[in-house]
Amino acid sequence: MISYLESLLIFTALAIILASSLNLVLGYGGMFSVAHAVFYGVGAYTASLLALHLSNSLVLSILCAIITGGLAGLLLAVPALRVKEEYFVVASLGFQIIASTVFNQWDAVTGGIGGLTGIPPASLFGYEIDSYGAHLVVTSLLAAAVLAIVAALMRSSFGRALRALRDDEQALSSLGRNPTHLRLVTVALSAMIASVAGVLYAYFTSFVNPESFTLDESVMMMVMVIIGGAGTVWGPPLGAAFVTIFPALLSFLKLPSSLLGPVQRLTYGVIMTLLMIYEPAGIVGLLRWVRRRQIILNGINGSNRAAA
Amino acid sequence: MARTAPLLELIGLSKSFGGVKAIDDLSLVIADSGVTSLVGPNGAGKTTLFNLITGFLVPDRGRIMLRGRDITRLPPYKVARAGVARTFQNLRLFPTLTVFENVAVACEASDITLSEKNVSKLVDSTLERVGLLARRDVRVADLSFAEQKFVSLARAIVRPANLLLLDEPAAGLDGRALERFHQIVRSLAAEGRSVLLIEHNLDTVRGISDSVAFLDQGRLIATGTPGEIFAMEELAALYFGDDR
Amino acid sequence: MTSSKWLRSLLVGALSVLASAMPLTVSAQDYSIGVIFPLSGPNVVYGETFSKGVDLAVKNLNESEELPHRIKTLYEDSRALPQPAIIAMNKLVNVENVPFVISAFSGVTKAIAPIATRRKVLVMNGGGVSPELAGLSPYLFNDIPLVNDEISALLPYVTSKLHLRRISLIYVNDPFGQGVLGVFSAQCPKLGCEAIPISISPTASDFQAEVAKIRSAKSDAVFIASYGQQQNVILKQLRDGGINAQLLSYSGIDLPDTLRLPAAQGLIFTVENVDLGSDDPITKKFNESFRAVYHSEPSFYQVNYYNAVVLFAACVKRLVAKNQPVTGENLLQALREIKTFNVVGGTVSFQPNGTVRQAIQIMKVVDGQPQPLAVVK
Repeated sequence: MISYLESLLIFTALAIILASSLNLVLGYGGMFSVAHAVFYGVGAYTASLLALHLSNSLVLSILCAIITGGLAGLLLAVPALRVKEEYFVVASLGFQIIASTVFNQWDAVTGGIGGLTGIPPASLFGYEIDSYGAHLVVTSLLAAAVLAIVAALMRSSFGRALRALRDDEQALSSLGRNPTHLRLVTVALSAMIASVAGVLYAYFTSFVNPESFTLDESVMMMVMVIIGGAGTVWGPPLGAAFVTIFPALLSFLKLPSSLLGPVQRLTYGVIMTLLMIYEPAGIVGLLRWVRRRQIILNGINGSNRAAA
Repeated sequence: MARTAPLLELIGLSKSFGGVKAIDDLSLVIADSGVTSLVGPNGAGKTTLFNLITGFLVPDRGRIMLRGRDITRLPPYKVARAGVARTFQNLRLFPTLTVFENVAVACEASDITLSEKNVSKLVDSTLERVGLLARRDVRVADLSFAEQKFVSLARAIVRPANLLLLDEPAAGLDGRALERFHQIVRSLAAEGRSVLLIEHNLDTVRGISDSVAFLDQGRLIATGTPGEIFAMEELAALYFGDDR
Repeated sequence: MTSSKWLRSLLVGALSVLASAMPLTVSAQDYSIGVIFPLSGPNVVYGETFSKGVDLAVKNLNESEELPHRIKTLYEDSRALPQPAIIAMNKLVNVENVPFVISAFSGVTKAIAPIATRRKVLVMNGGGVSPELAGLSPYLFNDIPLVNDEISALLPYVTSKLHLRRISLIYVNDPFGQGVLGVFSAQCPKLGCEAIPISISPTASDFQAEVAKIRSAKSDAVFIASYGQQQNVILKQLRDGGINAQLLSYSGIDLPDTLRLPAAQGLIFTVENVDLGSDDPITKKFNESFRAVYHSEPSFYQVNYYNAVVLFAACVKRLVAKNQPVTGENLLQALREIKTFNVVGGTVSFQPNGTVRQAIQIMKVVDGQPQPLAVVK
């Protein structure tokens, strides 16, 4: 049981890193990107290739992945941001498709559809990260660090400019700020963070193939950000946890195999649709509502007691 | 050369939208300091002229020189960094940001290098100047209209710009707010900045302008002191229609 | 207050999920086996097809009472993707404590293989054919011939018996096609034949350039390594392009509609030597029950997945006889000891790298029907 929970929490922590990084682009930058799985993949392949051919040092892998991930981010952003902002989603779709093709076809490097197997465990300060417990500690610490970085970033002048950009791009440019430059930095930064998740994924699963970095995965990350609450620090991690843990909970429903898949997906879909209809601000919005209600209820109870 | 060139020189500017001439062969020189009011009937091309100067529109013909430097085709953010600040008729504040943040964003462009602490000092002193220091941490969406107008003014004047373009900054203000606005504009001119403003209220124009430029159908009809301009009968006819 | 209503329904939903999450009575006596198939998503049709084989085998074995306890299947949805598969595998292994897991799809199987090794759980793959599955984990077995084995059987036959020397190889550029190319490159030098590789994209549908290359290469034979509808297009365009060389292929081309094409006349190909007409009790039972339960003809995959359970039962029987507990480690030991298993369609054994060793049949298309030429053990 413990190992199962550990594996689930590891994937949750990875999802939190991915959703938080996408939130920079989507929630704060206002750019709809359906290419985030590409950066996740670039990080995973970078770490796998390093571990298979050079070194399994986690620190080195993360540094290299930040570089390759950042470059991949620029590769998307530089051409995409030349055109109008509205086309960014289309450009990112094209980028995702091209990247998927590269993952699938560049056999010499990515191993093609078959992927890369037998990735050795990572080493950190002389220790081998082999057990699930060790993976969980490392992944959780990095997820916490990412959350802290995003929160700090949003309080900084960079975050201020990014939120202003989302509100009114033209007004921002009239104040001497270059919107394209801001977006470029945001996409690159977000890609760097996502690629770190890729590194952790590769070392945990010790197997990477293109199936984990598809358009579907990118869309799933978008779902995490949106149902959690885009443009908030805590929304995307909550959304990530929901999207990862909820289907796992559903899998404990004892159903015949022919019903299992459809019932799980349907329940999941219905709950997400309801959430979006009744609470478009996402899970964070829902929590705020509950808290407000609680304060009011406490107030009423308090005055009742006083009256009695 | 920079010393001798005028602050802003518009040379033969033209801009059409689908065959309609919004600005038609317009030339104008704006002095180094003082307050110039752009007046004229609705649709005269005043806001279009602001958009051309600040890079939001590219003229079909003509050039825009800032201290002798051609800024005609620069993107808005580069025009801003060259020393031009503006406000918008519909304000265009950042509604999810606080008053402080709205103004802070304006003084963190790469042409200004201030530490976080100095940004905070500069913003606070500017907010004090426009009378909004008490509302510093309120989201601008929660402000009154008059307060929002002063945020937009603060955002423009916090930048180290020699040329300020204010698009109907006094519209909707009255009483003490209007008085404060007059005061601020005069003090900007006294600091040696040049203010170009679009204004409909002729009392305001008379009260704060050093010179007036009269536009009609995209053409510059006349320039002069407020006294000279308001003395011209034919301009009054253009402005108010024939029924006066 | 629609919000409060919906919040309440969410709570009720969550509670009912939690309630049903309480361990449902899996009798400690049952032999639990895990099954990781795509049960939703674009590959759900495979999951449905495969599970028919598994379910039928479990039903038959439980009814026969050959084992002291019943077999119980625990299904998990992989969506044919690595990450859900890893979560599913961890649940099966760490929560349900199953000693045996049936898997499908190469990516899924590769993703769960490290967990199988770590937790000493036997994994039986009956669907993925990627060559890299061979030897991936001591606990991973593939009861489906990886495409390599078919080619290894075909090449000696066509070079020695049919004297074909120059063989053009049209292959889809994916792990399967590269596997085929790998076998050609390794075996041709030894057998005195020459392979002329021509790669195509999995989505290509126009092969004029490839036909021209084959024509100028003056090959004795053309091997087609593709699948689905693309095979038919290649066959037609080769014949229309005036290529009269002997055509060769593998089991993927064994589809009735394809074999009936005029262009397929004289084609030589290989199939797994599964004799569904065999008289042995296991095969007979399979044939009868499959038709009775599903009212259709079984597919090659369904035979594999039926056999996966048959293999498990055989290992359990041995452990029961030796009075040993049914653990992954013991199952592995039993599998290695039994060596040869009686399954549907004949017998199978496993190579040291975990892949099935099965006789391969060489077939030739005559009048739209496959006719056996030879069996290669």
